[in-house]
Amino acid sequence: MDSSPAKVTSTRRGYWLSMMALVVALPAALAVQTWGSIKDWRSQHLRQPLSASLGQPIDYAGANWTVTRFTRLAGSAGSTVVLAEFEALAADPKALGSVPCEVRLSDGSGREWRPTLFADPVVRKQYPEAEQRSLCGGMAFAATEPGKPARMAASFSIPPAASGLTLSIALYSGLPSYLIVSEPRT
Amino acid sequence: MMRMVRSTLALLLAAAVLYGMQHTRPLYSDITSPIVASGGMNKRVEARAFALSLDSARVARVLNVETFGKSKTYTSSGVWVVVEGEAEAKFETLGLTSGEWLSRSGVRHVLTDRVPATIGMMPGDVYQPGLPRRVLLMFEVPEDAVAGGTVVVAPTKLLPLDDEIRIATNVSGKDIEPAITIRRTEERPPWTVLPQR
Amino acid sequence: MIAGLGGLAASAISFSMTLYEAAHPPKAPVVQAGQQIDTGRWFVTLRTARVGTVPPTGVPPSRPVQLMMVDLDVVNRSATPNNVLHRVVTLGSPAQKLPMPTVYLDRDKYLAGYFNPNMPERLTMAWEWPAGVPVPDKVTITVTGQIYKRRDNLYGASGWYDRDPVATVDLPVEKAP
Repeated sequence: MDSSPAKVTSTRRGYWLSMMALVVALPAALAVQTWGSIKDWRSQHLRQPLSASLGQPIDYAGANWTVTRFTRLAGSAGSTVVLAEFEALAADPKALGSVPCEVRLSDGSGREWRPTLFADPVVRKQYPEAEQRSLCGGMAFAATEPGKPARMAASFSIPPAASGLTLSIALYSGLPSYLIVSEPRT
Repeated sequence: MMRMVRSTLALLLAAAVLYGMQHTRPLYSDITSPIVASGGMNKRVEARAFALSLDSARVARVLNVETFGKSKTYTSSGVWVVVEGEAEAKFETLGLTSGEWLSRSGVRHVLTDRVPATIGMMPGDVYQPGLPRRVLLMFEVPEDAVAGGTVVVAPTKLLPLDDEIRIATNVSGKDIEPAITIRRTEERPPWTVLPQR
Repeated sequence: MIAGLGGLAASAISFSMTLYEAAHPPKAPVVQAGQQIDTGRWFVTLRTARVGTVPPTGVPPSRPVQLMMVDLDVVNRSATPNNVLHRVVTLGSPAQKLPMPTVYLDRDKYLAGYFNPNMPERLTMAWEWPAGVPVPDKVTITVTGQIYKRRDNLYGASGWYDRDPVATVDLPVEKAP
């Protein structure tokens, strides 16, 4: 074996260089691996509200949105039904046709309701037109012609005592921004 | 030569340490097990995301299901356990899709999938915060798994570290009715358990 | 260096074991119909086989097909419910791969779901028989064993794992309408 001082030095230098490289490469690999998850988490959890009021148009995610109705109805079995109707005029509705959309209702104490799959019978009775509308997202936009607003509706089932209600609409392409509209004072 | 012996010993030691670790660390199912809240019958048991109380647990040899005039009889090689109670979501709308009967010896039985879902059983329903709702759970279990059984309810069976509520029932396994009828109704809750008692 | 050689040796051994097993398929004992077979997770008792066009529900499918129906009794001996019987009971012939069988619960004459532990059930497994393949006079059913591992080698998770066949059963095929 060749063990001249020059050879030993270069072997040793190689060894330490590799160790240094590892110190840099390992965290870098971890960071690259986790970056995607961090981005997803950020877009899901760090959201910025865009506040509007009932009937006031607002630009969001490539469309002009208006919440046209936000009302309480007496639901079945002692519950309260909240009906929200909203529309969005998109320059290119087809582009929004495949974007998932999330509609939620929350109250002052941090509780959050998802829209009900089937509207309460009271909605059908009092607002039959609302039942024809689709829930926010893909379907609503895909079925709309350019220049016409996509009409959408969501109904919620909540306890009558809930107060400080806020409707939120999040289009996944528009995250981290989302729309919020507070229940009008009567 | 010495070097060879030394590296072999190091290798054997490493293998032994790994083997020891494999057999002394907690099982994967223990690390990822749900976070349990337990209680007894007729008490509201609170988990992080939902609350559950059970007020009735009945045992029968035969289950009849009446759906708008049509009746179907379900026999079993064991017995039927019919449990009723009330569930409520606390902060967010959720579903309760997993229900199990845990026998005293630790054997699990799932909610029956023989009875059609139209009867309005727990997994098909949605629970809204602030709106408690009646629940109906039906299990098919061997007779010796009845006494001292526990009802286990969770939003899903798939998420690790999720909420789970365990309620120890008070059934003795001796009071077995010949038959129980579940009648679908248009009211709320959309079923009645007969004969009434 | 040693680790590299070790790894190489391990893969060589595992490869040659696979080759050896492929060349010498394990011989499973032939068991009579009606005799209980212990697979580890299940007790399986094969009863009869028949070919027909009407499944146990009594409602013929909209597209007429031939069904190879096998009646059997099962008991789930594990501590959790399970419904993956199609990996335990397989049809030996024909040579081509059959689609997944449908499992019917005899009690309900309807689709079977989960089998709860310690509850014996009679059921019918129905395989769609490929068109153009003649129906034989007898079929060979292979019953595969499963073992319980308290901790697997990857996660330390508990679970059941498929093993070698534990029995084969020859059943004469009745030709029912």
